[in-house]
Amino acid sequence: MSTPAYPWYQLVSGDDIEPGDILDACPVFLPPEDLAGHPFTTATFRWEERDVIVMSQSCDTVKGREKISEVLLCAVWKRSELTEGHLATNRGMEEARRGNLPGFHVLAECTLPGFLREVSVVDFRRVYSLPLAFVRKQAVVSGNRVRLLPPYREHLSQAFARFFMRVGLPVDVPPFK
Amino acid sequence: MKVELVDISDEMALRESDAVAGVSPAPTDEDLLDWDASIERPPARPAGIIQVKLEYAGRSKPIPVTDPASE
Repeated sequence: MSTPAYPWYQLVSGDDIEPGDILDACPVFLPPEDLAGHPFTTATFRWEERDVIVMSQSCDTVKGREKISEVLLCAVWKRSELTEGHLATNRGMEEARRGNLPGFHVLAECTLPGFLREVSVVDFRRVYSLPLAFVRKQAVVSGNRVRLLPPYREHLSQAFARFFMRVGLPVDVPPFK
Repeated sequence: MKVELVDISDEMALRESDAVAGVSPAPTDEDLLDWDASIERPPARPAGIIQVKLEYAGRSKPIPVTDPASE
């Protein structure tokens, strides 16, 4: 089988974090709502496991020249996990693939030997931040990981920006008929 | 087979005027984009709770900005 001219993914390891890095089974932490406004010394946090993709810019995470202390991450769902709702249908996935559902971004399957991944969906409505040092450590302990390559990662960033900068008009120009 | 006749003369006239003006025909769907589509219930994943001890580290400070020209 020939290698695609423009592969979507490559395998990486180590604590070098770049946009498009996919961290499988990464914990995210959800503080209790009654923590707000109270100087507690102890608390019970809920943690949930997520596959996440790094959204922070590479220039912000360069080792020794970090410009951020927390990394921005979005949830990634495998297609087979989406068993209900519009995205559980071929029509929904096709709309997402075409960019008609701006809250989502479809990633191609990964066929790298030993790291097969089915088609997945980045969920722009589920955004997390974790300390950069924690993400570096998580990347190291998880071993090899999949990294989205250019231009697909820029395509992802553009889709996220497009979703995030959306503006809804209270009164639109009436349609022309 | 039942055939329903529909008057499309107005639409054809509109398309012809678009062609004369050199513009592409407008898409038929009024709203192609669904900005509100969301996953209401995320797929179940391992989850749990942890007890944490909170240490007040003071008010955080901004990361110093270096002059790009000095790099």
